[in-house]
Amino acid sequence: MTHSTWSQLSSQARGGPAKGTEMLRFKRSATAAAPSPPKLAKELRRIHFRRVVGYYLQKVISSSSWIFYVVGLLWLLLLPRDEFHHVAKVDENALLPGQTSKYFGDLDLWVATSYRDQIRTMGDPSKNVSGHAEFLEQEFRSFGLDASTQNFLHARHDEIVSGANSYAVFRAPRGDGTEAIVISAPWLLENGAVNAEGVSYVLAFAKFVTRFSHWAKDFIFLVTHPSPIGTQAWLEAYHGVQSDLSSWLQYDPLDRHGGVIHEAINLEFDGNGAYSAVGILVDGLNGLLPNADLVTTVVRCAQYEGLPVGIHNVVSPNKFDDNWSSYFHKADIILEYMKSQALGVPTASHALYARYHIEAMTVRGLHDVKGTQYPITGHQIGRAIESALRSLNNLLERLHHAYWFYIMPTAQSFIPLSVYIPPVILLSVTLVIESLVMWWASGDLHQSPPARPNLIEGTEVANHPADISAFNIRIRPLFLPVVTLVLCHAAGAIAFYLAPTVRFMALIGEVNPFNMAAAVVVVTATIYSFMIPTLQRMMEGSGASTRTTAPAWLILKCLGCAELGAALIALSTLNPSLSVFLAIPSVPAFLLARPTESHYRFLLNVAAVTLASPLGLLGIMSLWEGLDVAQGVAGKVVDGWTLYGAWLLPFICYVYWPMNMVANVIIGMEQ
Amino acid sequence: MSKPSSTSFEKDSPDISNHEDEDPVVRIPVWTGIALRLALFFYTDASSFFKHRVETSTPVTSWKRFQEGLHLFQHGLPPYDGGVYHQAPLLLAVFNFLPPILIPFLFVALDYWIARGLVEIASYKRKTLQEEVWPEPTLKPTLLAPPPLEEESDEEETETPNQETAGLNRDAHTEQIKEAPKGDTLIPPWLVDDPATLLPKKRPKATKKTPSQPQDVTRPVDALLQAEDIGSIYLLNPFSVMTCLAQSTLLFTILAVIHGLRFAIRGNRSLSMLCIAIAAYLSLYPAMMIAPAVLILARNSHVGISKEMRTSLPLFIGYAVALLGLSYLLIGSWQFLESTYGVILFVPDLTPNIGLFWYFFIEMFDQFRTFFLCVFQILVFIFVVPVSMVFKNHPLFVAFLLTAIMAIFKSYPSLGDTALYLTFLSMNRELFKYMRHSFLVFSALFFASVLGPLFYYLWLYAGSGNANFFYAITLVFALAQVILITDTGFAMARREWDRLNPDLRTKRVELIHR
Amino acid sequence: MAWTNLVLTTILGLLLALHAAAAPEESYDEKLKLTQFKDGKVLAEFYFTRFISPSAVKKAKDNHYTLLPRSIGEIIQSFGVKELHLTFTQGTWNHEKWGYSPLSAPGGVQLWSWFETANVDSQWKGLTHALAGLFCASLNFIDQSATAEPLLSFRTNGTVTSASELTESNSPQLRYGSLPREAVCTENLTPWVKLLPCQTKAGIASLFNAYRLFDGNFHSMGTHLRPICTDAMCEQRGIEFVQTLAVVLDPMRLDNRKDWSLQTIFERKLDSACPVAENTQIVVTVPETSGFTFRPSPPDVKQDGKGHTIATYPIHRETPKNMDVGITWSNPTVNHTIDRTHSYIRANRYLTGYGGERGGLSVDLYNYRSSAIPVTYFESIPWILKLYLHTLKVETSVNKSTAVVGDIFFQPAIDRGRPSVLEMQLTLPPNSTTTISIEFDKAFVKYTEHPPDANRGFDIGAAVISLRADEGEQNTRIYTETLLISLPTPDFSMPYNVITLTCTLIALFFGSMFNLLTRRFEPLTIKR
Repeated sequence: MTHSTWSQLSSQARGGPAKGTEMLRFKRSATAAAPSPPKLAKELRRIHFRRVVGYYLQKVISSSSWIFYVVGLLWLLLLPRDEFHHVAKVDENALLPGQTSKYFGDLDLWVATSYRDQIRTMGDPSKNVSGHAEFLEQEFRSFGLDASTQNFLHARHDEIVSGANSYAVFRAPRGDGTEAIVISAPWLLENGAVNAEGVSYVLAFAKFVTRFSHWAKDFIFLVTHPSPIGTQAWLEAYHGVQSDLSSWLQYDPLDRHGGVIHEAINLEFDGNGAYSAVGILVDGLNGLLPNADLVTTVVRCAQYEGLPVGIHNVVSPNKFDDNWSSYFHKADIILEYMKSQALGVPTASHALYARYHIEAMTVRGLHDVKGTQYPITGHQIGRAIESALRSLNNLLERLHHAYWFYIMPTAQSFIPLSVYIPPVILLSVTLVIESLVMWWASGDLHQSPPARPNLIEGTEVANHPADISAFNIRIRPLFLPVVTLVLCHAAGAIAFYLAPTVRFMALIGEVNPFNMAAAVVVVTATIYSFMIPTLQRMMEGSGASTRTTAPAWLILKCLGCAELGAALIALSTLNPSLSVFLAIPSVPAFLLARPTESHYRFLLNVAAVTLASPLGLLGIMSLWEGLDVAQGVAGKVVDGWTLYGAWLLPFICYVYWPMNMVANVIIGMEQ
Repeated sequence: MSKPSSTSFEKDSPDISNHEDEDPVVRIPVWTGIALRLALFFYTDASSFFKHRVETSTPVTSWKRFQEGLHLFQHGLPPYDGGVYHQAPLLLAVFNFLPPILIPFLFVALDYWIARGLVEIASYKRKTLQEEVWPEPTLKPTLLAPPPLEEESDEEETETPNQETAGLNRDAHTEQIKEAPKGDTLIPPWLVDDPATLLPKKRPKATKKTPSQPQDVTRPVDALLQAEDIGSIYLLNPFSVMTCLAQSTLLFTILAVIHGLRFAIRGNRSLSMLCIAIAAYLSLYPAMMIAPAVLILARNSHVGISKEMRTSLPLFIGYAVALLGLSYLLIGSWQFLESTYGVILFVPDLTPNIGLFWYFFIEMFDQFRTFFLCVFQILVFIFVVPVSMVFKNHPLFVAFLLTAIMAIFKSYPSLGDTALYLTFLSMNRELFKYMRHSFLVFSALFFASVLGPLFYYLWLYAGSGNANFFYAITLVFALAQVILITDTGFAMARREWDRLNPDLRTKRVELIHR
Repeated sequence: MAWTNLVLTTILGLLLALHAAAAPEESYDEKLKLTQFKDGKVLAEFYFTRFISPSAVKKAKDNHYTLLPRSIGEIIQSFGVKELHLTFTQGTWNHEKWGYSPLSAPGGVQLWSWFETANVDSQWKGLTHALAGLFCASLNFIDQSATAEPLLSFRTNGTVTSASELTESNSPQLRYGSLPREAVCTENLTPWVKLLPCQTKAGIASLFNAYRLFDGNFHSMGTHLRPICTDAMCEQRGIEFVQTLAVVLDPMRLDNRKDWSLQTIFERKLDSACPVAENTQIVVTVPETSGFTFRPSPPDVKQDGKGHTIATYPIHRETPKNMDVGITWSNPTVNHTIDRTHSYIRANRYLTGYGGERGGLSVDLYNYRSSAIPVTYFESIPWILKLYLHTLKVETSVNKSTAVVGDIFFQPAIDRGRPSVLEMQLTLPPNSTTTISIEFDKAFVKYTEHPPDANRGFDIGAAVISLRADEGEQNTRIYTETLLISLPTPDFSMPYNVITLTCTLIALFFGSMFNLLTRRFEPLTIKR
């Protein structure tokens, strides 16, 4: 547009006579050369072709960036199909799951059951923390292990909870004590039930392992209460993190250490032996997963003992009556899996080991799962655990052969990174393309196909058409967009520092969620209805588009798309599920966001952006699963940060919500 | 010798200063940068975080290693008899008596001085831009052939201020500015809302020479850069903020480099050479910066480059030798030579950084090690002479190219080097219009600086990624910078062509690069 | 059977004649100490002691001795070794439950030796290679980058120097090296046994049953060589060559009983004494005063002050064959309580921090006594860990005011050159916990410098804590755990890819830069 006008202007201004003189000069100089048919030389054709291709490429890309988003969505919908699933294999040859002869016999089972009954009688440890810990330490001592107890204080919102971890180190008789495996069990489960059999299995194995000399790794038997905070305290102390008096968690240092912990297995068996299956929990803090070899080994060992293994409390049948039932069954599991991974807050004690590069998982007993025929015996469970320990004991190395990125549709199969990462990237790459488009649009996006270069009359040189310049003429304003970004991020930072306080007030019941929601809405509204006019004034209206300067909202949208796209792509390497769940609503919102005249378009943009905002997502969740679930999730997210250092809250506050506000700003900016 | 130029500097240095006084707004970003650094130092633990990041502190600049060296030194142990401390001896003397509480302030002050130096350099750059001559299109029939070289060369010389023509030109320019009518009807409409044309003194000169000139849309209109902005850009650059928080001793090198150029601009040869010598003494590679300094000195004290070289190179060598001698007196042995420059050249410490050396030499077969070491190190220095020959009229552009090459290909680069050459780049703002891949480059840099720390975490902490992840990111980072260098170079060449071939330019001649 | 006995007796006869001739020159003793701990484990310590008188040393022509193996003599002669201590150990000695034994040793191989010669380093290199060949161990991996020179911790056991020699130029020098990850097994035992006069044919060495020796909770073979003064002025010095083997066996684990005998723990019985041994005896120590019976009843039983009962069985050539020493208990219960009067000091060394980039090293020293204990802490850490001396902290749980740290000797590491050595003199306050902590960075090493199982990592040898003993008795040493450092690994399959990619980038840069500097813009002219 602008270029054509200039060329007109300049041609007018250049005026007749000047051109005439030029023509004369050219005539004189060109008389020597014979007049030739105007055919385009090879080089000129190449140049022209390159320009035309570039032009149409720009056109295509600028019009069709949403295609990537659609393709990503469709691909995601295909994931539950069996064609995308691989059967889990053990890549580390030294593990040999299930190949060893097992010794866990009736005597050991009897030990376990007697301990279980004793623990039953002791009841809830919260009444008498030190007494329970004392009991465990005595028992461990009686097996000849180096036992000890770690006391810690946990400052909860309204009271201070005192806890104790009892642990014992079994030194491998032949080993040099440099590597260790942790077998842990919490006293209480998430649902408040006493983990009687889990603790009794830990005790039984502590007695069991002393009978053999074939262990190469140390065993650390750990019983935590309360959990998983106890596990957090123990792990921090084990890795020498000094407990500072100001923090929410204060703990004693450990006076016993084993070697470097390589694997950890967490046992959760409530009830009294009547299980229909064992379930596995794999996803750790921030959605980090253990090495697939650990999971596969445990699952294999359980299956060798004839245990049905389920994931997320679902045991997949071996065969389905038709494809659609299998599709929906696996879709459900994958959805559950991605939801819990996306949240990234610890689901059980094993989740906290991920931070220390320890491959950990939880094995829990499942009651009355459908699709299982007969109850399983404690004998099987014990032998399965023993065989898993024997396999892990075979390998004097870190688990490093298999992969850490996978999605499990069933306990026996997985979707590898190569299959599920493309759609995740495609969703967010849309934004990167969009930012490129915005950059072109703010610069010299040619409105019409470039004219062909033609030879100057009577000379050997050609000149290129007027609307192709050696440099780009439009100035891209940077100040307003940068300031907007900075302000939005500052707002996010403030929200981040306020969040724990708000959570605290909500816990002691002074704030109800609706007021919080209202507050957030007001904040956002003020930011994008108040900040822009001030900025525009500050910029003397340079936010608007002129003939020589691009409109500021284009640059802002360009930067915003680039940042959000980069953030989501980066997130997809760490926690793909979260990346998916955030990209699906926010990408279209960002694509739509632009200042507009029509009110319907404006309302549509605002609605999309509001739905994509963290609050909107919570709203959707509360519509979907009920308000209390949404509240619980919000609380979990904040606690996950303050207690365990889960990154979801910082990400939302520092990146996601600010970008959402940026989208708001874009909608409100002047065209 | 350098008298007139220095006087000329004093002529325009006051107007810079009172230019600051007349609008204090331009100082706001500077103080924001300072305040940001102090706040981050004293109210967050960002400092201890960045001290441990490989992106900001390398084995030859890390503050923790420096502390170790200082500790050994103060306890009478030889600091270089070990594998930890690889930094210059005289730094020990600097910090030996400094109370620890002052150290953060010292580093912030370093950044401030760097910014001041940059502002002065930028004002020089602004002056050269103002003096830049865009010859008029003389509609001679020279289109038939590309302009003969001697014409082009004497065009350049008219533009260099050592001919009296340049002097005349400058006077002409000033008096034009004086008698330029305010509401000039000849200003094309697309220039009206351009901030560059709002101030009369910034209007492209010689607008009233020929009527056809203003319509010359083939000629870029540059908003003159504000010298203060360059200082703000440096101080607000997150990379330089990180480097300052990491207390990387690289800041001393940067300060020395900047002041080498600054004194060169003032025409103070000996001080300039002293600063360059200090920079080279601290971290070897900046010895390259002799080239731009000598170019500037030659410009200021109207002598030939070779003559200037013959006078300043001995100065540089003398200062360097003196510094090494002082270090010997301090340490008492020559052990520090192979423990500092030896480490820089032979790269025994393969700690990862944003450069190309570490993974290459972790994976390198031992028998080829020395060969590739020579290749890599030569590659850094090889471009000094040709670059300064080709761009000898643009010393600050030479400085940009050399600092950028250093930042990419030195053995232990860090984000501080990147911040330095990005600041030099922002001085050559008039080139941005000619750059073709700037979006690609800067988004690649952005992606790399987002994904780099993440992949580093996945490799070393989560354990779910391996070294290739981070290596790939360093590769992308380096690739983006290489594209940036070449793109800027071509932009400069293209602009020079546009400037020196007015006739062909106004005819929009199709060009080829051969 | 009969003819073998005949052969044996004739051999014995010959040996006896020899022995009688050599009696004043060289002497040989055998001793087996069997100690049962409170937790039921049985420690068997074998001592094979040879003494070579100065005259014999002088008389020996090209290292032919009567009892001392030629290879050992060669080592003494050709490498100028004055004193040598080499231990092969597997398992960790539990100082808390088993107290302190001179035979306790760190896991893997530990070698320290005093030289009295010039150019010690080359001699040390030769010594390690010779011992590597002698004991089928990878001792030759103790190169300069793994060799330390302790100043305080390893005093000479024997009397190496007289006052006159200290003034000489070649005053004795110490070298220390250890291989923490050396797996000790029968291929080390066999050459070690070959050095015995009657290898495993007779004497207490006939109890060696590899299946049981290597099934214990702790197993350590030692070879010790030291000079002994024979006169007051220490002008005349003989050589004492001791081979020791300590093994901790667990009757509870073997057959779930507290009772034990040679038969049950070794599956062997003692047939006869070694004929060349001047005196052979078995000493059984029990940490109780009653509630047990020795089988067979020993000739003499005595109580020491500390509540131990010690029975001694002298073995003569006429002692009955198939002798089986053992203990039966009246109450079969074991107790795992820790007796702090015997194990009054405990060390717990561990790594702090996580991630592949940096970490810390911490040692907790517990002093359970009500009196301060002076100790010397020695640590030799390979160069792959870059220690930061300015982060060294020593903290005690009780009265911070007391000066805990005496002298500190620190030698920073040189990459691929030498380890970093830290040696400190500490005074542990009574009933206190003293924590030593220091930070380090992990080195990123070339892909060729990683061990084959790179994802296991590098072993850091045990630290040595020596209690400064009273005059006379040699000072007891406590060895901490060995630690495992996992260094960040490169992708071992990548060299070609890395070289290709990086060089591509370099070439791209060079090429485009070259274009930029050489080419110039010109109008495109079309020739017709």
